[in-house]
Amino acid sequence: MTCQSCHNAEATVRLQQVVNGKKSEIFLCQACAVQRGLPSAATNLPEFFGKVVSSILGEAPGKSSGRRSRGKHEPRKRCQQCGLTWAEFESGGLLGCAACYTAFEPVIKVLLRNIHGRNRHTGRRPQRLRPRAGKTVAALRQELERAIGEQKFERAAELRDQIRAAEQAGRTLPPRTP
Amino acid sequence: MKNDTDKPQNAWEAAAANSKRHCNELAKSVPSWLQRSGPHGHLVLSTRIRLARNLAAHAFPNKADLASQNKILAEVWDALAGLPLGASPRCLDLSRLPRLDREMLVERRLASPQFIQRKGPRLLALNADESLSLMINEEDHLRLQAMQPGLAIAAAWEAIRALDDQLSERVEYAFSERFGYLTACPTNTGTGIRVSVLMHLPALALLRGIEGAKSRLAQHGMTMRGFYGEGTAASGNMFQISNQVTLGKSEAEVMAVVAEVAEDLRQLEEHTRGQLMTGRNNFLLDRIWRAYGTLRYARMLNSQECLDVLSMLRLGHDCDLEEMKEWPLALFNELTLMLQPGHLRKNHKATAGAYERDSLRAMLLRVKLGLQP
Repeated sequence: MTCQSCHNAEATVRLQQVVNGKKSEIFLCQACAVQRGLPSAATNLPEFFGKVVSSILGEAPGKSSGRRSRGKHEPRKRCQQCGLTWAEFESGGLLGCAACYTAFEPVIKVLLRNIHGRNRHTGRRPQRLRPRAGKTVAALRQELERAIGEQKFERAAELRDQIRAAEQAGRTLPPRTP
Repeated sequence: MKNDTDKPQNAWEAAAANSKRHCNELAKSVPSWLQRSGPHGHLVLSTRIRLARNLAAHAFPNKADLASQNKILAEVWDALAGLPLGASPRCLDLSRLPRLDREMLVERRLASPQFIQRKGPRLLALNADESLSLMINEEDHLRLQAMQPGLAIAAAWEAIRALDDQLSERVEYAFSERFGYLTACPTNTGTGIRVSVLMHLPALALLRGIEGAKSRLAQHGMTMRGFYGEGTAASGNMFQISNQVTLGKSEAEVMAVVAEVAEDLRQLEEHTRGQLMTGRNNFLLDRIWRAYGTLRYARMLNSQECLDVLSMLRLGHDCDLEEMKEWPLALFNELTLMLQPGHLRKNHKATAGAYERDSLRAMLLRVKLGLQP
């Protein structure tokens, strides 16, 4: 596939953007990708990452403001646990502690969605958090039905993930390798 | 400031007292996992899975003060007792090791380039055959790593899953129901998993250019990294493919995609080799025989050229050329590692300078491959 920007070189980078919940996709060559502020193979990811956090969040001029309203970013906002400010994260690319995820949750949600395409974990859970008995899964299912009945969809999604994780726990099948 | 002569305060300090000796032993030997032959061993050198984890009670390493960094080492080391790393895992204290030893650990892919450059207390723990290891106080508190020869994602997963499960019963991981395992860099949040497959793809690189393969990877949310991981260059037609997305996909889904893409690339490489060996096959044979000539007659080889020569000889071996087919694959793996600059300097004291090193490398390559010294 050729680059959809310069139409000259082979496209090697897929850029996915989600604007107002609408997903768009463009294939670029390395040069055009770098021009748009995306990393090249030699970039140190955290550093690069910090530099483009704001652009990932759509705060560059002329970008959609739809995301900004959901993930409003305040540079001086501070994590009470470790003292990291959002501005520090933007320059260094690394969060300071687990509590940062809560302190900056609205903007982190947007950021994670832009990096990974989704922002809800569906994988494994630490051993000590896993439900031990089948009864617990059944209880979760009941709660899920109740949540749907009450139109608490955020909670329903959480429960669905917990059920899935509980069902996967202990029998996470690795893929077939030849 | 801790003095080396101080009496160890913690279990890890006692264990790390032999860091230097462990390094000397490591440098002399090929990791035993690398000596085993794995599935598709001629095209796939190794499979690596790493998991990024943090402890709930401490700030991430970049924000943790010295006291909590030391506490993290103690907590994790104590928790490791009796876990799959073995009865007495080797413990290497990076802050006590000179640069050369640390570089040697990067060449063995036990430590990341970032890990050896960090300041502050940090440990590397590893099992006997080096197939399972743990960096403590890297970018995250814990980086668990499993290595397997060949394309063996399932085997690597089994090993690392067991370690992760047992560790998670003894220490409290930073975990949220919404975001999964919480990591310092949001690019690892969620599963914290990176599945990497190191492949030898000379025909693809020669005929099609590796850019085509890269765009296939991008379509699957994957990327191609260099020999030693993130931010390093590819050498000797070795390419490391790995997943980028860690959130919103389960570990099994991530592994399935990497397995599929690796298999895809493997078949494409085989197919391309087939094409190159039929018809105008001098295009390929010329490269291989030139490398053979270099092997026979060169008197100096720098590490880059050495990897390139090894790549072509390995291809000659795979193509069943008379002069090359008897060399065992394990020998190629051994040479790829042991002729790296850090290993050469560790094992041969007289090779501090590039001249001595390059001369020795050319000689060792001839001797190891059974030619006249």
